[in-house]
Amino acid sequence: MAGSEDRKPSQVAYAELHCHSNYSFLYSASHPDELVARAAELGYQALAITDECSMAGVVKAHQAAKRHDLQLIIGSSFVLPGPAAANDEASPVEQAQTVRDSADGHMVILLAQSRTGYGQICRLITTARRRCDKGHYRLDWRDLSGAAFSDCLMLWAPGQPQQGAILAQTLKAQWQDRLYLLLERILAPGEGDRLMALQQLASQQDIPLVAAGQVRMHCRERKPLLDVLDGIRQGCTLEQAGERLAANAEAYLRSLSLLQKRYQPQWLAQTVAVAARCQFSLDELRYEYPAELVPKGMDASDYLRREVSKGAHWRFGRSVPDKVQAQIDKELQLVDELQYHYFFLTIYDIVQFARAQRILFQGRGSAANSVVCYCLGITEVDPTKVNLLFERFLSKERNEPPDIDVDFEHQRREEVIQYIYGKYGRERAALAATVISYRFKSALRDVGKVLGLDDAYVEHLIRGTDRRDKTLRWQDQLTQLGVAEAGSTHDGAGAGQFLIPLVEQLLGFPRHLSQHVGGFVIASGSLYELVPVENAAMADRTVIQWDKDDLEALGLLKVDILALGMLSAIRRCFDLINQWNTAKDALTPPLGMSEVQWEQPEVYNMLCQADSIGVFQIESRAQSNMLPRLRPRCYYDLVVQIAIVRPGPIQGDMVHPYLKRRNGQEAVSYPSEAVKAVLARTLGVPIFQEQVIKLAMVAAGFSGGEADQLRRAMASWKRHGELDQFERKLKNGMAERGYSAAFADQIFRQIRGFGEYGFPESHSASFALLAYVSAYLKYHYPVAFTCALLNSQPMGFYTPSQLVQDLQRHGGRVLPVDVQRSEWDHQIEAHDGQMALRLGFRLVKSLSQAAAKQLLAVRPQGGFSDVHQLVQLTGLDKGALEALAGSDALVGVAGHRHQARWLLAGEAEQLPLFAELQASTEVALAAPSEGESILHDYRQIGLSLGRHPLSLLREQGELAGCLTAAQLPECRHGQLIQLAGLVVGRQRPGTASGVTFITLEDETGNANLVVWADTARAQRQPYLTAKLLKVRGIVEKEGEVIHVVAGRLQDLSDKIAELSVNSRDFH
Amino acid sequence: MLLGLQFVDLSLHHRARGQQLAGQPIALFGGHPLKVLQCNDEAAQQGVAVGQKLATATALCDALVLLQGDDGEDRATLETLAEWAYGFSAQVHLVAPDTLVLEVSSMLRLFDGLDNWLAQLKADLIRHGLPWRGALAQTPLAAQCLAQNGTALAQIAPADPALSQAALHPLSLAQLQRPEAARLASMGIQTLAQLMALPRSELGRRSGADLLLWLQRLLGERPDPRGYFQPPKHYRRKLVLLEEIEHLQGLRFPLKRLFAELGDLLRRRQLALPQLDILLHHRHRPTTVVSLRGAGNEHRSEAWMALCQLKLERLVLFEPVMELELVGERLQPQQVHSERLFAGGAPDGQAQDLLAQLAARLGEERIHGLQAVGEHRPEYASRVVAPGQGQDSRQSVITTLQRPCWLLTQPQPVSRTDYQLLRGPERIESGWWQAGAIARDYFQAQCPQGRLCWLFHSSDGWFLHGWF
Repeated sequence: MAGSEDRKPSQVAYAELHCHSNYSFLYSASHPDELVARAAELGYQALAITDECSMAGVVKAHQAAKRHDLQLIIGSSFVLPGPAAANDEASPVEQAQTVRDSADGHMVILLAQSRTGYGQICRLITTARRRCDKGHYRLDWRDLSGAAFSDCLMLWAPGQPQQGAILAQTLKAQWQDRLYLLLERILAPGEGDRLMALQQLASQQDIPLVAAGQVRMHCRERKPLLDVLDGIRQGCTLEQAGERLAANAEAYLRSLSLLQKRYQPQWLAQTVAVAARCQFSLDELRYEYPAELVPKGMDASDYLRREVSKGAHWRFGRSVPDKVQAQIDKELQLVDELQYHYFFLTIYDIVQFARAQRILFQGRGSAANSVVCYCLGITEVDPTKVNLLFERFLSKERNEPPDIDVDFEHQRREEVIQYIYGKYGRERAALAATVISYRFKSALRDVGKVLGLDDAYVEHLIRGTDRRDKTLRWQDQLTQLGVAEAGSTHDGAGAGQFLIPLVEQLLGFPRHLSQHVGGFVIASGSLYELVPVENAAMADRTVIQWDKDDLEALGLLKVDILALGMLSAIRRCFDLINQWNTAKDALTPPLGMSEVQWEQPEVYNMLCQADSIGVFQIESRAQSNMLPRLRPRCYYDLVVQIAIVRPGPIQGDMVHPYLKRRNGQEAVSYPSEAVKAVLARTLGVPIFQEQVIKLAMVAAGFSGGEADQLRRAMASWKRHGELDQFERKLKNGMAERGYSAAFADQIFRQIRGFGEYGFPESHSASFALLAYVSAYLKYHYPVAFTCALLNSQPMGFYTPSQLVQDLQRHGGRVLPVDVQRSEWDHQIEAHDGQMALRLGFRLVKSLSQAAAKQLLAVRPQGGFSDVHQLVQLTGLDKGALEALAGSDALVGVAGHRHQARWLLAGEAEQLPLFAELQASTEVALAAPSEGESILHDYRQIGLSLGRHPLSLLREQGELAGCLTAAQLPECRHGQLIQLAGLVVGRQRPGTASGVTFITLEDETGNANLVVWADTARAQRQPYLTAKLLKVRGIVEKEGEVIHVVAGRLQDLSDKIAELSVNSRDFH
Repeated sequence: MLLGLQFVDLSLHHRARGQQLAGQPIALFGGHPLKVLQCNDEAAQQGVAVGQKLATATALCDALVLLQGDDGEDRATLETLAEWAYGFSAQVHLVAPDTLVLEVSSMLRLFDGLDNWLAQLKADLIRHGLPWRGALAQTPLAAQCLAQNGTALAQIAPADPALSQAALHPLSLAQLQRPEAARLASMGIQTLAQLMALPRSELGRRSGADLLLWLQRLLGERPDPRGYFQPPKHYRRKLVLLEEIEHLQGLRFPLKRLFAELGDLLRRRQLALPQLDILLHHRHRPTTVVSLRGAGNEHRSEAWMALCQLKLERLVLFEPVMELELVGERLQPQQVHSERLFAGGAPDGQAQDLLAQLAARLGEERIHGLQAVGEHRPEYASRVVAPGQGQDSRQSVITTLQRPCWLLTQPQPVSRTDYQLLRGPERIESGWWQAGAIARDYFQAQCPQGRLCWLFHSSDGWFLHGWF
């Protein structure tokens, strides 16, 4: 067999200097940690990770190298055009795969000798990347003048060594003893000639030769995956790829004995010599904070103290309560010890900007919930009004960086981002990256394509696989679908048989870098020398090549600038209320966050009745079902409520025990005192991620460091699946300390759940604040609240139609879009002295904001007199006028829709010449029927103020025997009923196996339908496609929660169309 | 009077016709993202609908047979049907993608009345096995619209002008495929009747001249001139011989005349033929057919004569020939040959002559071209192509490598010791996804006789694979 190798211990020493990880996207078939682990196992002296124009994989490799105690060399490889192109000043060649794979292209590797050299490489990558669009880079020889790389080594692989003499002279002159010639043997055709030429060039120009292996995988068994990646990258199937694939599987980490056979000893020895010259480690990176945050002549600590003390007086008045002052002192002392001054000051600076611009914001995260943050104005959680246990949030034992995310109004976050760029410059501020990795669907699609499987077939496989099915792994599901036989050809080898193992391997592979939602890294000096920066897909955005895990691993701090729609809505709601109040009485004090009345029982009463549409975080279907069961009565209940309907507590089966204890159906008990300290605030049931981690420490004996590892593994479980290593440790630890196996099992399942969707108490605490504020506004100012929500769309869980219906059911008055009265945004109008919601033009589909402005600018005081005036004055185009007519906004000037359109059409086509000649004949068109009107409303503005379509259908006798949603509470548990409604939501929560929740809407409200997997499978057509569904089912009641468990489903979508003959696109 | 004839879901049924798919749910798909374009009744019963995403359709119906849509093929299908319809009417108009309009009135004398004409037409339609519906009307547009909106399949609605008018009235503008349909519907004007009730001048002001013209043509108020289908031309020339000819030699002269005539015609009309059949009709025996095929489209009489000579040399006559016939089925425009600036690519005129003559003499199945393919595995690195086809392979990377020109069909096991290894190894491991997976180390070596050869070593031992 070719490539037989033995692994005898060998005396030879070797360092691999040319190795790509899969962060050279789609070019390598191994993760950085796999490469490191294998290199260590083979006894290499060192390993260089040399991803192409990238540092994206080095942190992962660095962590692995520390674990395996292997020297890691940081470097990067670049492909440059051949000398012909390089000499041609006019044509800088775009680096592309064609260059990489062409015979003429040169490849160079730069290795960092020191921190300085590392910075030089980072700067070069940044330069090369910033020249091009996302994902590309461009470099030519002028960028590589040796002077700029005093602390780097260059390993050069010339395209044609026979013709390399001139370039070699230049390089040698510039790089001197830092230049090496790369000699690689991978048993390629014509390799012998190349080796001869390289040796000749080396001796002629006096450049040392060094061996390397062009490594693209850690073991040769990855060759199939490598071929698949080559196919994906080059957009061809394996059949078509031919010589675009690697000829053999030699690009792997080879054993020392094999290397000894392939290379002369001096070439191998040179690798070790090179490694010895590279003494840089990522541990040397130090983050330096931007110095301008602190006024000249002041110490950061003093400045922070001064600002906090200023803030304390602003928050608490002249005399700060002793308890609070003690807490402030304690926290500041911790900040001193941990040296986090600049971190708080950075956020303080950003927040001050937002406050000055009247942008609403809210901090969250463990460090955010502190008195210091309250005094600095980062959060609004008043420690004296809300019972919060502050000491939890900033602690010395937990070795984790301070965590503060700041949410801003989503429509104004860009202002904050531009402020940061403006203040620090692009060289010092950039967004963190997010690594986009292969998920099941993308992996299956790409592998399927390369294996030559039909697109339609692959879609069929994806459709036929239920990733949430816990009883059957996806691999087995695919097998059942018969993938092994797929793509069978005459010679009997079906390509489908390779699908499953390849998809398994590809899952979790990084595919490209994207921008993090808002994590900013701000440095004191140039960021370009800390980490390379590249262009993001979005114009004017730059991202660094590391993601948040990398930053955390190196102890670099990032500030999260996030966007939150609810903050926009709340700010708008305050504005609307204040406008209304000042119009009535100019002296009314303005309402703001700090004026909200906390802990009002009537607000909690509303929530207990599951009346939470529009309320932040607890409006979703699953949350609103939980409300009547959990019955929140205070702020901390909301914190629990928000955190409990999440994969963690649900998969850990913690929900029911908590509810039972809360309702007094089960006694509150603790397995030990230590556990009691952790779980007392949640009645002995672990709900929060922090509690579970703490439990691992007190109940399973995890050290602080181990607990920290566990936390990190939870955060990145989806990608790496590292959690399982903790399972045995946790269970053993708990068994040793006398806890039951069942309890341990439960805790571990919960850990996994958190891995799927981590949700810590610190975030819940901040969210609960906004939840209360929004509930407060909904209760006291329903019209203004709905108006603000509608003006902040898209956000939240419900459509404008559902929000408006909810308001109407609460007795709020809603007025239609009217060309004579409406503005762009929805407005509050006085109607009989009460607030009424006037719908705005923003709801009208295909009417641009510019067009609406144009109209508003010329609208006469008393409105338009007729269609002719409207058209003449506004000069709106056909589409805009048509949209207005379609929304029935022209009633005041033209009559019903049909007539309005007819008149508009007459105006639009009128040529000035004929205007007077042709006396127009009056045509009176029939008004649309009620059904038609409703459908047109839905089509044009997405909601209707007329009757609900279901009400019409009921009147027409189409729904005989069907109850309404409002009648459900009168049904008894277990009653067999029929129900019909528009399907407004189909949801398959990951936490409920095989169940689909369908929300049916009728004229009285929403009904919740539970469809079990079997029912769905048996009636796929109505289940998947029905827009109007009739269902026969059984009522299930638990307290105030009512479900209908679906039996027979019937698709009545045709009935909607019958409301109006030509309408097929309802919703 | 005109007949509109719509073939319902033509591309789906046309394609399904050739396969054993009776009773199975079938859908035609295309577009991006993939959507269902057409589906048959069996599929519709399981919830598959036109416009659905393909993924939804397959989820609804496991057994769904999927056919890929192809616009080019649809056009060709309709043209074939038009060719058939040409037998029933001299004026056939194609309405893509699936409708034909046939002029009827002028054919009635020839077919002895409408009933006969219809009966023959229906009989043919049944043979086609494609679902259809038809309608007779006074204007082409009306015939087309009524056919496309007919209620029953395999029915032809009557032609009474009053009745066809009445049938049109309730049709909606959307059914009539008017682009203004949605806009007019938004004014409450849905049907043709409603449209006709409006004052024309007001309508014209709002909807433009196009709609008015269409309306007038539909109702026969204005002429509706159309382009008609022209069947493709072919060449057919029969020569009754003055006396029966027993020897092939005797055919030369009349053939030469026919070829000259053909060549003349082709030159004048700038046409050429890829293939020409010579039909030799006998008194009793079935006709002898001699097929001539040029290496491309050919129009020169001498070229045809030369090919004919070669063919006739191998022909044996069993009975005298009474009539000669030349048949060229596919007349095509001549390609003007110009000298190529660079060598390579398609063979030039001389090479084409040589190819055609070799093919005529040896048989076409024995002549091949060879092309290099970019592939590591030697067995797959070249491919047999039609002579003169394929790209110039001199640029291929493979040919720059040290590979032998002569590759053995089967590697031959050899003894390593007989050979002296000169260069290598070159390792080739590829093809794991196919039966042809290999893992070999190749060497250039010298054989005992001193020749340069290509050896490889694999898990099965040493093999000789080619000669340099």
